Amino acid sequence: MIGYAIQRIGVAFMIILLATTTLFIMIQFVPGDPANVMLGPRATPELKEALRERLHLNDSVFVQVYYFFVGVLQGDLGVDLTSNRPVVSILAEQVPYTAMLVLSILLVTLLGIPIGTYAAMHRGGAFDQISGVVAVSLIAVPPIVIGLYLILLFSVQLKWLPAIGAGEGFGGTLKHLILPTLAIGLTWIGYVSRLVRASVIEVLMQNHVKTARAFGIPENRVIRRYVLRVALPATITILGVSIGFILSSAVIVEILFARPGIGKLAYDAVISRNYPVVMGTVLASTVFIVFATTVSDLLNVLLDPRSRDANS
Amino acid sequence: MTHIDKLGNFSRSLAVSIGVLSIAAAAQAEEITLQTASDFGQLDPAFWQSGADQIIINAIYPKLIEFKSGTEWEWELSAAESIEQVDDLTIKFTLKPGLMWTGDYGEVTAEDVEYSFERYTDEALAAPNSGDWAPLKDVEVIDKYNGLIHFNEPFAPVWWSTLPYTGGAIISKAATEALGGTFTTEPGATAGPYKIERWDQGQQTVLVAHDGWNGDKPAYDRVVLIPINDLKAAEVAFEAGQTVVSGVAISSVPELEANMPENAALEVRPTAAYFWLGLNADNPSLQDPLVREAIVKAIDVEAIIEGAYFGIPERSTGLIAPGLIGFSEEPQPSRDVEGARALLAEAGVSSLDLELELQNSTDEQTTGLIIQANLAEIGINVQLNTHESGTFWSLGDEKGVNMQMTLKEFTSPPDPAWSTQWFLSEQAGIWNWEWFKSDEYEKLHYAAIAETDFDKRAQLYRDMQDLMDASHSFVWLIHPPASLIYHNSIKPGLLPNGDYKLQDFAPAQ
Repeated sequence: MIGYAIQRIGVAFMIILLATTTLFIMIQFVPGDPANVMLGPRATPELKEALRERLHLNDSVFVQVYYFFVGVLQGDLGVDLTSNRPVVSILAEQVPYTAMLVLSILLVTLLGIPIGTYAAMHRGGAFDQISGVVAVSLIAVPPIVIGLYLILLFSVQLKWLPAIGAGEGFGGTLKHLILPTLAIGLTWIGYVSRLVRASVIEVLMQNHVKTARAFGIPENRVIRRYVLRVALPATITILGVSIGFILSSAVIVEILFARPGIGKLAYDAVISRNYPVVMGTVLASTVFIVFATTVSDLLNVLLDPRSRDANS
Repeated sequence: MTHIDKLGNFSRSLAVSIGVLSIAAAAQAEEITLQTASDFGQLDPAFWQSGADQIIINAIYPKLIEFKSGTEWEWELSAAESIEQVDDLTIKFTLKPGLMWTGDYGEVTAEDVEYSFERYTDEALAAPNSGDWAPLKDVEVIDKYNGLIHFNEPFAPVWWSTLPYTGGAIISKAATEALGGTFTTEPGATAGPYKIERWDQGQQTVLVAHDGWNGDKPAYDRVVLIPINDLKAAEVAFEAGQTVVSGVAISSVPELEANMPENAALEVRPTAAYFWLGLNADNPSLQDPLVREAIVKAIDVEAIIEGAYFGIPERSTGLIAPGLIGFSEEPQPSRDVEGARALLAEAGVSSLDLELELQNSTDEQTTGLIIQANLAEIGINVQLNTHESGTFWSLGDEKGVNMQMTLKEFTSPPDPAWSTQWFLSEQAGIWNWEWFKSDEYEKLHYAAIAETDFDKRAQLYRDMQDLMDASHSFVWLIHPPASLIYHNSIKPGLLPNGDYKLQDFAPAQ
């Protein structure tokens, strides 16, 4: 297990290095001059040239990649071209907002487990059928549409919940998280519930479950110990991978709900060709995704000894 | 009445009650919450770039004079007790005593004015906005409150786009020197009607009234600015009662006029910005002036205004917007398809393929489609090249003279010199994508900057616009309007172009 963990962490570092380098190179081919962004239309060509020199924009891509990673190793991701603030400081302010959003979405998504399990145990019943229809409907609707309807209902019509911002203090933060979380989370509840339902139904038909029931083990214990333990690893893997999708949905939701966060930061930075900020957000989200998938892989191995054997 | 009906009525009543309460709460005299299009990024007046920078700069720094809120561009005394143009090259000012910097930086003095204006001409600072004070010779400090601003040559825009505008902001000499002579988002001291209480980047900026301000106390003690870039999201935030003033998309104006939210009012104002179709006179396909004139004649500007802008703005008469020096009242000629065909025939052109570069906003794409249809009528096939903004604004470098037709919008402060400067020959390929070159235009541009007589100056700008029209390189479309919605319990402090003047927001009488 320790060997596998070390190997998996090594792979994670390789992925971060590769993804960041690839994106750094890709950015060089996007039209748009960061010197225009920083200095505006009234700057003289000489001023712009001096800035390009200072930012190494006239150097080859490989030299720029070198400077970028030297900076990363020193904890320096450059400065925001507009405000001249260190990108690291900006990320430190913005990442918690996105992390909170992603975490709350994941917590909400966990609701899919009991829903899917209950539906599987009562296969063909009213709950199974209704939850199936609702789940598929939620999967089919894009988060931005769900978000818009939630805002119109709970913010504009009922005025129960705020439409924009991130709030202050525990209560305010929680209140501001509800609609963005539901906008993305509802889709994932639907998705996870269908996934868990299918896995549980499959496991329920396996011999070890029939044997457990034949021995008279209480149904709750059978489900907890002999069904979910086998059915859940696949769901955990999916949740790990889903972090990437949730992060990309967070961009839309952060814009829709005018929330701070790395999604909105990245979007604004791409539009304004603020490359140091773009690279900072890419690095942060890559680390975030790789961390989540690595943890889910390790959890999977921990829960399911068969995958441990397969990996070793 | 069924239970469901009763429940529905109760919910609606509850919603209305909560809504009224929340909007009323948002409009209390202590605090207002306003939407801005973006977060600020630069508070050094020599480096400002965005409208959001400008809103904050105008609220936190004193200026000798400032623009009045209202619908006409007029300035009034602010930090100055008096100011006068002594001769063509000299302005004399006297500061009001008792204006205090935040922190321990004491009183605002003539030395601060000297430092604030002279740093623009400091080559080491390399300020991109140095043009605001380009002809400045120096500022002579007479005593604590009195000074003389000396110019190397007459500079008429100083009264329109420098002193009352962002370039006129006074910063603290001592505080800025303590920061090494430059700063971005954290000025060492401020002395305007408001000061920054907190800034959560991307989330909100909170301003509070500054005790050391010696002018009229702002009506609201606290102003919260929330950056919401997407105007549709901003409208929703307004309707949810989270802001009391918000920009709205031009496409929402007809709907809002028909179904105005309760207790809300709408304001649509023309701005000094200008939106036009440019034809590159240096491109081989457009070098013949007859071809360009044919295109100008074939475009149905009224159809563009109706189709892309819901009939809201007036058609432009030229580069300079209404209300500004040099505005031309002479309307542009109406569409003349037959005349356009005749010109093309005279030029010996039977069919022509052209490309139109435009941005990916809905209104520009609709405009592009109408232009495409208009030009198809005279045998010109137009390919629309749609770009997102970053790519679009780099086309000068990327395509250069290969650009043929472009749809562009430039913003401008209320001085025409800002607008005319982009069409000098030195700007060809940089911002002058029409490659418009006219020696007469250049001569008039510099003459107008130095002309201090209002009427003579206005005539010079009208002559310059005539030269632009005679080149057949410009199809003036509209001066894009600023549209805002606000709660009717407040009286918004707005400059003539719809920009916020925060210190002039007040409860409605």
